[in-house]
Amino acid sequence: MKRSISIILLCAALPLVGCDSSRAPSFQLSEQSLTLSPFAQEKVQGELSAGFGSPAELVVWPELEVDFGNFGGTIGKVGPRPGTIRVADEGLGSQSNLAGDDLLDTLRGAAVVISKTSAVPESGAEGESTSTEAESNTAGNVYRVASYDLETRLLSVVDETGQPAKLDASEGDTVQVLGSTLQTGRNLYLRHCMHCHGVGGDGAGPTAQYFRVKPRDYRQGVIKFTSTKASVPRPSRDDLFRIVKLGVPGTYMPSFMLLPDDEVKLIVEYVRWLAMRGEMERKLNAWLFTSYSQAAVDESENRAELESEFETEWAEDSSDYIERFGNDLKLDWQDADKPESVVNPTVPRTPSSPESIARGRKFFLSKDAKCASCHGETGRGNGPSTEAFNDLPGMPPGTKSDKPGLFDNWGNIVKPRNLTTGVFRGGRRPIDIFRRIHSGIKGTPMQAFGTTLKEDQIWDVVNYVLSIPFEDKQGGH
Amino acid sequence: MRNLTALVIVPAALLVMIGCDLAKIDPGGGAVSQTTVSVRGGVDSGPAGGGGDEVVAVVTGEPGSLTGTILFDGPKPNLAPLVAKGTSRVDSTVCGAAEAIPDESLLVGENGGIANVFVYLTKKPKGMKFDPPETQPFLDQDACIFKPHALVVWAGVDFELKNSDKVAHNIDAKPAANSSFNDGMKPGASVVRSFRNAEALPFQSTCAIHPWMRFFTLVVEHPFVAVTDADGKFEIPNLPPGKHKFRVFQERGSQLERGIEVVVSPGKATTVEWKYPPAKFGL
Repeated sequence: MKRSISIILLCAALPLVGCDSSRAPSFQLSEQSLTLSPFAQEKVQGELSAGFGSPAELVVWPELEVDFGNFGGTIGKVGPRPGTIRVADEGLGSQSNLAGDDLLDTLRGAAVVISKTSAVPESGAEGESTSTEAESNTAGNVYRVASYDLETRLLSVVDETGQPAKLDASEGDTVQVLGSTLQTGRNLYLRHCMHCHGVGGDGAGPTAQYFRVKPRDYRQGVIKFTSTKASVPRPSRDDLFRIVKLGVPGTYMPSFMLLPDDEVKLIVEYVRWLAMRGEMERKLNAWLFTSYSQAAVDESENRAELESEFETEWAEDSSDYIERFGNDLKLDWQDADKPESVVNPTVPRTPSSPESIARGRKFFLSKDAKCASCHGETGRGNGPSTEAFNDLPGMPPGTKSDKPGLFDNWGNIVKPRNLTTGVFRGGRRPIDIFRRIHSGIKGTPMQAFGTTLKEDQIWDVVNYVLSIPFEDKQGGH
Repeated sequence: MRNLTALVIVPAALLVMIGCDLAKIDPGGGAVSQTTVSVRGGVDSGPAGGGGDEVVAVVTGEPGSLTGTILFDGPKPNLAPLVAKGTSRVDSTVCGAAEAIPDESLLVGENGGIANVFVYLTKKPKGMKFDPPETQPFLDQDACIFKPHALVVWAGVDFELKNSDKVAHNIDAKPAANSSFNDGMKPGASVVRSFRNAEALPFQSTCAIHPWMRFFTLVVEHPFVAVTDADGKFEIPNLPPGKHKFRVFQERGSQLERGIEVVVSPGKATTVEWKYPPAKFGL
């Protein structure tokens, strides 16, 4: 009997252990943020929470170039209880493609904006007008969904304190649910991507440690394989969509061809948002790191003074910096989706021929392109630059690595592609290879040649590169 | 007895499962419950405004200036060239053909002055606005050396990157507050770039084809910056009088000063001499 009681106690204690608050999901601070002094770290964390929230408490920051998702309806009737309204017509789901449990999942805890009708364009329900609607319609009061009944279309909302909201609303006003895309994207990301790419997109999910080729860390906003020009630092939505759909051949990144297109798009939107969060953190660090790292505190003669200096600088300048950084995010990601940002050759591909291949090979080896210095004279990815000892990234200049090789922006040694295998990570279509040469591979030593080479020269190199795997099969070449 | 135990254990085990469902998120399965979305700053507003801009600093008196010398406190170091004359295994007709490629990571003059040291105000003086100069310095690649080795450019202003060599180079730039880029530069090429934000520290750019090549760029949003000359001397004119904090950066020593205070008196040149021991430079 005594034994069974102790077992019971043990079992009763288990739920408490299991639900330890440390399980609350969170975005981790970056390695660099962790080297900030505690007082600066706290502000960076605070800013990131205010702008992005946590995996469970997402924040819609309307300024960002993200389709956070919004749908809604109009108020049929206010009441009967405080904080409740009856949604008119077909209810809240009619503008979205959500229904039933999916709709309820999205609505749980969602942000709701109730605004006067005057702000809404007449035919606001049309699919293509949703984005403009969102912009014109973001003036109103924000509440949070407490519950929604699919049958009666009764929506009850609460205010920040969790009390039934005191509504300033009347019949005909619009109700908008914000953040539905982000929420669904988050759910899909956690299911399909998080295991390698990590909860916060740091490329350090639980599986990542087993990979030689590291999953992408999105937090610099840099994606290797893009169709965008060298002058455009970010990938387009289409680029990310393609990578998720097709995978990255030759790496652990699988193809998600079986996911429906709309789900992939939601994942892409969430990944973009994660990247922006990382960029914001990085930019805040770039501002604060030099003056307010823990190392700066350790060196300082008067720590209290340094801290008060920081408090003053933060109070005076932070809103300015955050606005500027937010604007950076907006411009860079907006740029990436402009049609003119995509590398589209103006001359058609030179048909592959022994002559074109020979020209391409000559160019590959030439002093003008110097492809061979990394890829090697036979394209095996073993050029002389791979044998040089380079500076370790992220360390004081002059700190040499103890291993030879070229580094990428994430601090990994990257091997130039072995072109004899015929496996191309960014895609094997001629246009893919053209774009690799034209804009380079962002974040890596593979540089952008499009800024200085002519398009027909690039096409010759494309023809040569595509021919390398078959070189020994062409008698006489 | 055994039955009784089982009766208790099963519900207790169930409790474990239920209890954990109450946790906000299941990190493995993607079954998300009790999540919330909120909107930053309510709606119809971006990041909180304010910040007291447009406060024009009260500048009394004439501007002063800061002149000084950055000195190496030890015997002049004798760093071996990165590539001795005529020994380059890469592009030997161009790189190190006429002259050896010097190690510019620490250049000490006859007087002990250190060249290529960045001296600059840690931040823009409050409330002051500046127009960038009309011409920006350009970067050249000549005999497989980046020139200048220490470059200062204004945020938001175009500047030119050139290649005067007869071989291709590339410029792999990795700034902190701006986007990185990596431009291939064929012989005679010219590329125009700009940075949007000022940087707190100069950052390094390299060439993957010629691994010894590097240069440092500082992006500024105020004119109170100087790079020391071959004798380690610098001058920063037109400083508003008062107490200022200067940062001193040298590539081997990194931040020689995170922020050293100097009081600039109106209408006068304040002269400083800052000395650093070899240990600061890893020697």
